[in-house]
Amino acid sequence: MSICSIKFLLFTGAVLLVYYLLPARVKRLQPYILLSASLVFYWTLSAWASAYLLLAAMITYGAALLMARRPQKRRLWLTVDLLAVLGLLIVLKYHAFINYSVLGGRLSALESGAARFLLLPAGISFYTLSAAGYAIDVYRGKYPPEKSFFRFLLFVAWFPHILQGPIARFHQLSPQLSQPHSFDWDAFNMGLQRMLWGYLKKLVIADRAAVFVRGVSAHSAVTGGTVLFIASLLYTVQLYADFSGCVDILCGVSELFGIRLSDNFRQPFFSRSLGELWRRWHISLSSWFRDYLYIPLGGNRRGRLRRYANTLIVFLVSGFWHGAGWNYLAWGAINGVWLVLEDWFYRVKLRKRPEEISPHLAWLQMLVTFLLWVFAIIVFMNDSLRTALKVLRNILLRPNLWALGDGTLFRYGLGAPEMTLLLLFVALLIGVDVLNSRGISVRGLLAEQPLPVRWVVLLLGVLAVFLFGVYGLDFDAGSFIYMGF
Amino acid sequence: MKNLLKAILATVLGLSLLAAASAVTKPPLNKARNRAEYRSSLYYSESVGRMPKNSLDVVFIGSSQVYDSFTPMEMWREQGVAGYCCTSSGQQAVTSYYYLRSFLRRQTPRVVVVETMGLKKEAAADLRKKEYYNRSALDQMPFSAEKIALARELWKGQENGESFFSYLLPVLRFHSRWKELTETDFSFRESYDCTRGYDLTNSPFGYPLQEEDFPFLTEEPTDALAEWDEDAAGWYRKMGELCAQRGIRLLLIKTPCYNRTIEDRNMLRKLASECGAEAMDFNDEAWWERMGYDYKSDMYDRIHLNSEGAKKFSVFFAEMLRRDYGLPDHRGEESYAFWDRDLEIYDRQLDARSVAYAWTGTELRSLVLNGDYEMLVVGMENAEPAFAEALGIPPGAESMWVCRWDGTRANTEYTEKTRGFFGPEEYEIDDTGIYMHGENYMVGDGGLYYVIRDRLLDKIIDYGTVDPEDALRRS
Repeated sequence: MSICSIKFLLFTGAVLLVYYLLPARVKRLQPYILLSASLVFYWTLSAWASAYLLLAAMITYGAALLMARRPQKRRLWLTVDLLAVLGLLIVLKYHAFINYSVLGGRLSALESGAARFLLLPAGISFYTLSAAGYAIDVYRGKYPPEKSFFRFLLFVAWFPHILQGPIARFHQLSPQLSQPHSFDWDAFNMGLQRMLWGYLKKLVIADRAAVFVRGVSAHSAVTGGTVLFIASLLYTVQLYADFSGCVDILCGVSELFGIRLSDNFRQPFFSRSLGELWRRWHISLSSWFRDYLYIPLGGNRRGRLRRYANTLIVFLVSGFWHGAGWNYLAWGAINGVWLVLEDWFYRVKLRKRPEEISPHLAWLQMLVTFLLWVFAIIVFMNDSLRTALKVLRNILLRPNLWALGDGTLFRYGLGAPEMTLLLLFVALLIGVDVLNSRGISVRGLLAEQPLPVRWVVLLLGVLAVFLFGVYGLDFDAGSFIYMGF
Repeated sequence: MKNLLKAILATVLGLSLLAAASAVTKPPLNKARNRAEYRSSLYYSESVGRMPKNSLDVVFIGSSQVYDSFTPMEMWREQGVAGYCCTSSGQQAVTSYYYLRSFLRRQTPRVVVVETMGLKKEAAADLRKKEYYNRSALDQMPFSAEKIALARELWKGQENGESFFSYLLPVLRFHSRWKELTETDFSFRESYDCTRGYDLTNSPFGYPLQEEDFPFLTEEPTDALAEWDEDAAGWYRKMGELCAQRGIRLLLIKTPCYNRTIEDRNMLRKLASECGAEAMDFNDEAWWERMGYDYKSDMYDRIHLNSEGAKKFSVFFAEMLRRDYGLPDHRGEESYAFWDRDLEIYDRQLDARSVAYAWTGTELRSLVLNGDYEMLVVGMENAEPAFAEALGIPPGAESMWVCRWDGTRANTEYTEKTRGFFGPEEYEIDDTGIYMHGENYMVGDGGLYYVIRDRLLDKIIDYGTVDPEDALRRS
C-alpha cells in the first residue's frame, strides 16, 4: 500500500473513524487500534517482513527488560541486542554487497539457498535505529524499560513513521501513543494541510524532477555538462522534495491522530556551512548518529584529530546506512572530508564560526555549501564511481552551454510546459522555505485567513496534486484515438 | 456539529472539483472535431435520459454493430416505432447488462434487442483488454449505482494496474493531459440526439465482400457449437432474468458480419434458449432474402452495415417489431410530436453527411453552393482553379486569398492575414492556419483549404483541402 495511493487514504480514514468514534469509557483501547492498524499496514507490504519486525521488537524489548533486571550485566544484554538487530539489518540489507563486492561471490550458494528469507523488509533501516536507540537509552538509564510489549511494539511499528522515519525517540513518541486522544478539529486540519503540502512536494515536484533526472542518467555518458549539472541540481530538488514530502505526508497522518512526530528538515539549503546543513537535513538521523555514535566515539572532547576521525567514521557509516554500494560509501566519505576541511577552514584559518562571518557574505556561504552538497550528490546518484567521475568530467570539461537555448533540455522526458510547471512549483517550494526560515509559519498564516480564502487555497492544492501530480499511467493519445468503431 | 457540516461540505466541494477536472481531462472522444462533429451523439447517456419517461418501446443494446445497423428515426418514419440505440464501441456483455439496467430505470420497453458480438470467447477476451472502449462506455453513463457496479467489473478485467477510483474519477487516469488541453476540452455543448443513438458518420460506401467471406454459405449443416466466453454468457443470462422479471421480450441478435459460421449460429441459439430469449442471427440467407440485403453493396467494412444497409435493415426490423411483437405506431400522437420535429433535423443531418462524404471538390462545391451552408475558403498559389472560379476568384490569382461564402454570395479578400466571424465563431486566418476557438482547421499540404458550416444545425460539418487534381483531403 503506497502512501501515495487512494487505498492508503481510505485506510487512514477508516482507522481514524474507528479511533475517534470509540466511546469515552473505552478510549483506553485507542493504542490497540493504532497497533492493529500499524500491523495490518505493515502486513500488506509483506507478510515476511512482519516477522522480522516482530523479531527485532521482541529481542529489543526482552534485552531492555533484562538490562533493568540485571544491571550488572546490562552491557552484555545491550551487546546481544545490538548484534541481533543490527546483524539482522546488515544481513538483510547488505548481504549482496558484502558477497559480491567484498567477498567476490564466495557466499553465492548460501545466498541463493536462503533467498526466500533475504527479502529486504520495508523500513528496516528506520525501525532498527529506533529500536537500537531505545536499547541504548535504557542501558544509559535515561528511562526505565517499557513493561508492555504491545506499547513497545506500537512505538516501533507506528505506521506513519515506520517506512521513512522520522527516526523516533521512545520517550518522546511512546507517551503520545499511549494516552487517549479526543478529536481536535484544528489539529486535524493542520494535519490535512501538512499532508497536502507533502503530496504536492512528492507528486508534483519530486516525481516530475525524477523524469528529467532519469532521462539524463540514461544518457549520461554522451550528455553535455550543462544538462548534467542541471540534472544534478534537479536530483537535489527531487531528493529534498521526495523525502521531505513523504515525511510531511506521514507526519500529517500522525497529526490526524493527535500524535506529533519530530521535524526532519529545517530549510537545509539555507545553511551557511555543511555542518549546519547536516543539522537541518534528515535531522532525526543526524541526531541519532550524534547521540549514539559520534558522542560515544569521543565526539569533540578528545582533540582535533580525534574529532576529525570521528566525523569521518560517522559519515562513512551514514553513507553505508543510505545504501549498499560503493557510491554511498564514497558519498559519505566525501561529506566527511568536506566537513573536516570546512572545520579546519573556519576554526583554524579564519578562527570564526560560519555564522560569525559578515551577513553580507551569507548568500555566498549558502551558495558554496549548496554546490559542495551537489558535487557530493553526483556520486550518490550514480550507480558506480566510474559513471560519477565521467559525469563530473563532462560538467567541468564539456559544458556545452548552448544546451540552455537550443531545446536540448526538453529532450529528456519533460517538454517545455512540464519544465515550466516544475520550475513554478520549485519557486513555490523555495518561497515557502524562505518564509519558514524567517519564522513565518505558512500553515499559521493560512489559518489566519477567512474561511473562503482557506478553502480556495486548499481546494486548489488538491486540484494541483490530482492534475499535475506524476502518478499512474501516462496518457497515450494514440491508444485513445477513437477509431474503427 | 458545525465542524461536521464543514467537513462534509469540504468533501463534496473537493469531489465536485475532481469531477469537473475529470470532465475536462477525459480524452475528447465525443468532443472530436472531425467529420464526426455533426453527429449529435453516438452514445447512450447523452440524451436517452432526456426522452420522456416510459416513452420508448424498444431499445437496441450493443456495440458499433448496433449504432451502425439500427437507425430509429427510419423506424419512426416508416412504422412509428419509438426506439433508441444504447451503445458504446467494442461493448462487452457486462456493459450491455448495466446499460440495460440503467435504461430500465426510466423506460418500460416491450422489447429489448441485444447484439452479441461480445459472446464469442476470443472476442470477449479481446474486448476486455480495450481500455479506451471500456472507459468511454463508462464515462457516458450518468452517476448511478449501475455506473459504480460497471466500473468495478471493468476495473476487474483490466490489466494495466490502474486504480478502481480512476474509473469513477477519470482525472486520475488522464491528468497528464493537462498540458495538451484546448478550448475543445472545455466545451460542453448541450447535446440532444435527434438520431436516437444511430451513427451518422456511417459511411455510404460499399465494401467488396465476397461469398467466401461468409463460411456458413458453404458449410455442411452441423449441430456443433462455437465456444462462448463463460463470463459473457453469464451477463447475457442475467439480462434474460432481468427481462423475464419485467415481462420484456429479449432478442439476442447478430447483425450481418463476415466470417460467421453455422457453429456461431448454433451457439447463439443455445444461449438464447438458456436466457429465455429469441435468437436471430442475420447471417442467414433466409433473412437476407427477406430484408433485401446484399453483402456486396450494404456493408462499409467487414462487420458493419453502411448507411444504405442500415436503412434497409432498420425498416425491415421495424416492420417485424410492429407485426410480430405488437409494437404500437405512435405517429400522430401528441406526446410524440417531437419525434417528427427531430426527424426534420435528422434529415438535415443526413444532408450534412452527404457533404462530409463528398468525394471530389466538384461534388462538394455543388452541394455547398446549392445548399444552406456557409464556407470559408483559403486559397494558396496552387489552389484548385475550378473551385476558385466558382467562387468568383479570377484564374491565376497568385497571392493568398480568403473567401467567405455566406450561403448566397462570396466575399473575397486578397490578404495574408485576416479575421472575422464564421457564424458565431470568431476566426483568424494567416498562412499557417484557420484558427477558431483555439484550434487550427487548416489540414493538408497546400491548395485550397475549406471549412463548411451548416447554418441550420449551427455547427461545422466538414473541413479539409481540395488538391489541384480536385480530390478532397480531410484530417
